[in-house]
Amino acid sequence: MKGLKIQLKITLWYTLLTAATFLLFSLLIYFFAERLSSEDFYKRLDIRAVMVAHANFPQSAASSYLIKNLRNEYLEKLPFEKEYFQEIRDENSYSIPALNLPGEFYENLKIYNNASYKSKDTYYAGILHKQGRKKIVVIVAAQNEYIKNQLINLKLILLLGFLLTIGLTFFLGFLFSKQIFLPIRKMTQRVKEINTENLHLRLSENTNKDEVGDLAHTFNNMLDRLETSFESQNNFVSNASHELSTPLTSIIGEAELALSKERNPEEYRQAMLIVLQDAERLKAIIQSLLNLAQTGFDGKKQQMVLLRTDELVVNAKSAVDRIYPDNKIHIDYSLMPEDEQLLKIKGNESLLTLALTNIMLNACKYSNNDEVKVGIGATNQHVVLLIQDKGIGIPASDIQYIYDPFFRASNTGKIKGYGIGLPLARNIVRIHKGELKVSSVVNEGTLVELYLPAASRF
Amino acid sequence: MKNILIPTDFTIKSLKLINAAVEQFKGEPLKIYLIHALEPDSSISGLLFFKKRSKANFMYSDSFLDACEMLRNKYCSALKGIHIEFYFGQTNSYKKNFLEARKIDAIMLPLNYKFERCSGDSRDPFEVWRQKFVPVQYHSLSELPMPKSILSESKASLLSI
Repeated sequence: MKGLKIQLKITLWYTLLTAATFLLFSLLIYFFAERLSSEDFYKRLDIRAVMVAHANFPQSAASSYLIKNLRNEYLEKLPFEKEYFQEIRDENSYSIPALNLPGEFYENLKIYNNASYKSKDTYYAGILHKQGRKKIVVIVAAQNEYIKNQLINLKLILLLGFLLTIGLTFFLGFLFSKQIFLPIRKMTQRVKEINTENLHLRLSENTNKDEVGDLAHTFNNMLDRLETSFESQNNFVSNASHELSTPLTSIIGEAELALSKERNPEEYRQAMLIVLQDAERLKAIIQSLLNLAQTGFDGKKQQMVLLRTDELVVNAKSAVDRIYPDNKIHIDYSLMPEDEQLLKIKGNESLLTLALTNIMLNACKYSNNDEVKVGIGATNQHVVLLIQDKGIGIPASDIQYIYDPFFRASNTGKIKGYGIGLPLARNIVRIHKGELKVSSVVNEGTLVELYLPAASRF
Repeated sequence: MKNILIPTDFTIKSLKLINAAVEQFKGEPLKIYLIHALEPDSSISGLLFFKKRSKANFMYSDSFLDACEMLRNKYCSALKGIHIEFYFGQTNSYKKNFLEARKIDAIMLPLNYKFERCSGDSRDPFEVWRQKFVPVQYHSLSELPMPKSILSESKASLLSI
C-alpha cells in the first residue's frame, strides 16, 4: 500500500472497516436465524414423537384412537417425515439399526429422556417413552424444507447487501476523502507557486481552527522566517562587504596619499599608524566573523564540561575589566540559590565566557559605562543569568533584527561596533541548548535573560 | 514552622514580599501561601460549574513561575514551599476558616504599592486582608529607580541592589 495516494488509502481502509463490520453482523444474523429455526423445528418433531409413542404404546386403548385422530386432523405431515420406534430389551443397546445415528444421541436419550440430531438436511428428534414397565425409543425424522428455503433466501439477501455495501462505502468513502483532502491539494498547488522570487506569497488561512488551518498557519510562519533569513542573508553580504571595505578603503587611501610624493619620516610614521589602526580593526572584524562562523557549526565538536555559572560570570567580568577598566558591573548574588549544585551547567568554558563578555561589553558600551547589574539565579530546570543595563535601549522596530550579523540598531549613532557580538552570543547559547531573551525600552535600558539548562537536566 | 500569607497580583515585583518574609522570620522554616483574591463568579454557569483550575492557568505566566522557583532555590533551607491559591470568600467567617485551615501565622502586605488587577474579578488585597484575625505586617517594596515599564515587570526587578 506504500505507493498509493493517501486519499485512496483512506478510502480502502474505510471500505475494509465497514465491510468487516457488515460481515460480522451478517454472520451473526445468519447464525442466530439458523439456530432459532432448528430449535423450533426440534420442538415440532418432539410433539410428533410424543404422539407416535402415545398412539402406538397407549396407556389405555381409548387414548390411542383419540391421539391418532388428533394427529391426522391437526398436525400436517412434514416433508420426508418418518417415524421409528423400538422397545428396549437390552439396557445397553438403545440403537435402532435402520438409522445411522451416533452413539452420543443415544447417550443423551438415556440421560435426559430426549435427544436431537441433525445430519445434512434431515433432523432427528427422539424421546424415551414408558409404558408400564416397557421402555420404548421413539425417533421422528423429517426435513425442514420451508426453513431451508428461507435460510437460503436470507443468505442471498445478506450476500447481496454485503456486496452493495462495499460498493457504496467505497464510492462514498472516495467522495468523502476527496472532500477532506481538497484543502490540502489546494495548499500543495499554492506552495508549488512559491519560490525564491516570490517568497512574499502566503497560503490563505481559513478562519476555522482545524488541523489544515493549523498547517497553513505553521507553513506561513515558516515562510516568514525563511523570508527573514533570506533577507538577512542578503543584508549580511552587503553589510559584511561594507564593513570590510571601509577600513580597506581607508588603508588604500592613506597608502596612496603617502606614496604620492616624497615625505619626511614623521609623516610616514603618521600614515603607517593610521594604516595599522585600520588593519587592526579589519583583523578584529575578521576574527569575530571567524568566531561566528565556528559557533554556527553543529555543536558536536565542542567539549562540554561541568561549569559553575557564577565563576563564568566572574571570568567574563574580569575580561570586561581589561577593556573598560572603569565599568560599573555589579554582580548581584541576591538571587543565588543556596544549593550551589543548581548553578552547575554543562558547557564549553571559553565559548560561554565569550558570549557573556560580549553581552556585558554591549551593556557597558551602550549605557556609556553606567551601572550594569548581573544577576544569577536558578529555577529547577535552568540557570538564569540576567544582565540589565540603563543604556540607550533598542527600538521596538529593530528588536527582531538584532540577531542578524552586522545589523546595528538605528539609535547606536556614534558608538562603534560591528554588530557581531549578539548573534555570536546567541549562537553560543543555542549550542548549549539554552535560550537568549532580549527585552528593551528605548532610553531606559535593556535586559538580557540567558537560560542555560542545569547540569542535572542532562 | 510558620505559614505566611502573601497576596499576589502575579507580578514578579510583588514576590519581593517573600524576601521580606524570609528576613522577618530568620532562622525559621516558612511555608508561603501566595493568595490571589477573586470575586466569586455569580453567573448561572459560574454557580453551577465552579472552576478554579481553568482560571488559574490563565493568570500567571511561566516567567512568574520561574521567578517563584528562583526564590525557592535561593532560600531553599528556609522556604519549605510556595503555594499559589485563590481566595473566593466574601464573609469574615469564611476568611477565618480559610486562615485557620492553612494555619496562617502572619499576613504580609506591601507599603506604597498598588496591586495590578489581573482580571475583572480580582479584588484589592488591602480590602480583603486588612481585618485582623492574624497579625498583618507591612513591608515596603523598594522602588526601582526605573519607571514602570516592561523591565520593571521582569525578573530583574527581583535583583536587590
